[in-house]
Amino acid sequence: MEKIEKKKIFDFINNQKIFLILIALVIILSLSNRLFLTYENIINILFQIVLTGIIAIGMTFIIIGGDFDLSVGANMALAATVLVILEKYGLAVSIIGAILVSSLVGLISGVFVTKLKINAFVTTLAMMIFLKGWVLLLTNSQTIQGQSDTILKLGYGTVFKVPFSVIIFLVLYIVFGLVLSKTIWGRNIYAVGNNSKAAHFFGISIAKTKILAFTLVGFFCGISGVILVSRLNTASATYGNDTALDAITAVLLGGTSLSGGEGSVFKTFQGVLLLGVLSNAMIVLNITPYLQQVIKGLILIIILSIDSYYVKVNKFK
Amino acid sequence: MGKSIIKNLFKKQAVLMVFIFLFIIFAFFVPSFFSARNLINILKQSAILGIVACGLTFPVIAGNVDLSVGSIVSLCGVVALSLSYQSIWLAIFIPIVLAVIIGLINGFIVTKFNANSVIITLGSLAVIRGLALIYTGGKMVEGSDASKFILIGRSLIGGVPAYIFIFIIIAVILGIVLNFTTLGRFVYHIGSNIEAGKIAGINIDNIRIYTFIISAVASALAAIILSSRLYTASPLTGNGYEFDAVAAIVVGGSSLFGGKGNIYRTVIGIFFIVMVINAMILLNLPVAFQYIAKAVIIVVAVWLDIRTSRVII
Repeated sequence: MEKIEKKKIFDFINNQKIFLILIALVIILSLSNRLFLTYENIINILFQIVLTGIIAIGMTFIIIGGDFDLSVGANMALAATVLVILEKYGLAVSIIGAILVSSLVGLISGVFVTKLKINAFVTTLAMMIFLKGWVLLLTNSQTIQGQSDTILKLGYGTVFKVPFSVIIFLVLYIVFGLVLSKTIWGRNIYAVGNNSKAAHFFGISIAKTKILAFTLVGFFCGISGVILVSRLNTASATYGNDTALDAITAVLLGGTSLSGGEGSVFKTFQGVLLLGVLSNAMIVLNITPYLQQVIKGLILIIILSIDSYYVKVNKFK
Repeated sequence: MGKSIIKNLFKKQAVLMVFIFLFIIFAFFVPSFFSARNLINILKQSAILGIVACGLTFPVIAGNVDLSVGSIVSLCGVVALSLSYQSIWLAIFIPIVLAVIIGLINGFIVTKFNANSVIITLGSLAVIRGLALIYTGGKMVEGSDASKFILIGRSLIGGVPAYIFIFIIIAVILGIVLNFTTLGRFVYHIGSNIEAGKIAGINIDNIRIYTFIISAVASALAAIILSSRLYTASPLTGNGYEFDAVAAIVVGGSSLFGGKGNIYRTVIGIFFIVMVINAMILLNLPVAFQYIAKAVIIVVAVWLDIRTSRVII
């Protein structure tokens, strides 16, 4: 009896370890810096993490399905560019246009992966290079400036001091958390990621499931691109260089496994928050951007090592 | 039966055919493409990228990918050039040692934890690039004319830069290692069937770690030559080299799924990529088209690879 209790506690700690690390980190940071646990700073952390955070939702779907997407940063830059170029036709047209183009890019990646059987690494690597070229072409290798400033009103508008983008971010997490856990498509993604052959025998269309997931990532890149422009009203091919790295780190940090078949949007939410708090802490501690890059890379390597080690150990048990 | 063998042979050399075909087209239609100066230019470009790509061929055939090669070129380049003030031997020796350590770490993590090499090396790319930026404080490193280091990149043999011969020597050595040594044979075995390799008693982990070390050291050699030739080194010099190298490998016909390919194919692949980019520059096309061309080449090459291997099965 006591043993079971102990195991329960251990399992609880194991399942909630990211949450516990997050709380510990927040306590340490708020004790060491009075400005950390203020309303402004919390909003600031969320404001900074929104772009990566939204893309990380889509990345969660893809990773649970057993793939990953390296082209997300370039796709976000594309959405930003399309938005800035279309701005002269009105706000609604430009926003819808940007999100549509990015979703279409995701759809094409999905088709390449499932129908042409080119694996996700090659497809999304090539897509990243292609999109970079396309954005350079559209922007003439420069930073382009939007024609109208109305979009900035969206970027800096608030409700009860909470920026619109943070509200969108939270709503998307709730909605797509439910989509992944409650819908048939969501369950199919787990099945495909776990064992695609078995999923196929059960009559699940692997192609349809994966294409939808890639389209969803594209859709999120579109939204992130729109939010990016709503803050700067500019677009450039250099945007989103580290987005794939950050988004994958956030997903793995949350505890979703790169080997597919397990994880959740809620876990990614924790990973995104942890990454946000860490980035904020690095800025507060005056760590140079170069060193921040080193630390971020190390976090990804360590997290993936631990994840892979668990998978390896369980496999040989 | 005989017909299918001929068909297979033709398919295997398809890249070479397309390469020769494009070369002839460019020679006729691209102004100043077919001149001694430009051809040497193509060789010069190919040499640096080629050394990186030939090294990267090892982990790829073993079924892994090393995306950190570009950042290794950056880091080793700035380290080599800043050490060239002290001594040419330090400027060569230290980057190679650094590369061995990096390759060892990459390989160790990928093999011992059984981690996905793409994402691990994406992480080490960020780490190494960050280290290169920290090392120089984000600035360029300038070389000094007084150092003998300049000779590596600037001496000529019969009017041709000496490092082109270094590239050829490295490619030949790597080719021999891959095709005529036990290590090379094991690399193929591991790439084509990791379980069978285990049963055959190969120490898989060690072989895979060696492949990462080879790829890192090749990048360091490329960095030494490049920084000596340009006499400036930026912590961002090697950005994107990983894409060109991966593109060259898949264009050559080596499989990114492991088990298939060789150095000779990678060399053809690198000439192919560099030649296409060179023609685009001569035609004054915007840089953007280079990216688009590379992406299209990668996808088409891999797609053809998948299609043809299906036919053979």
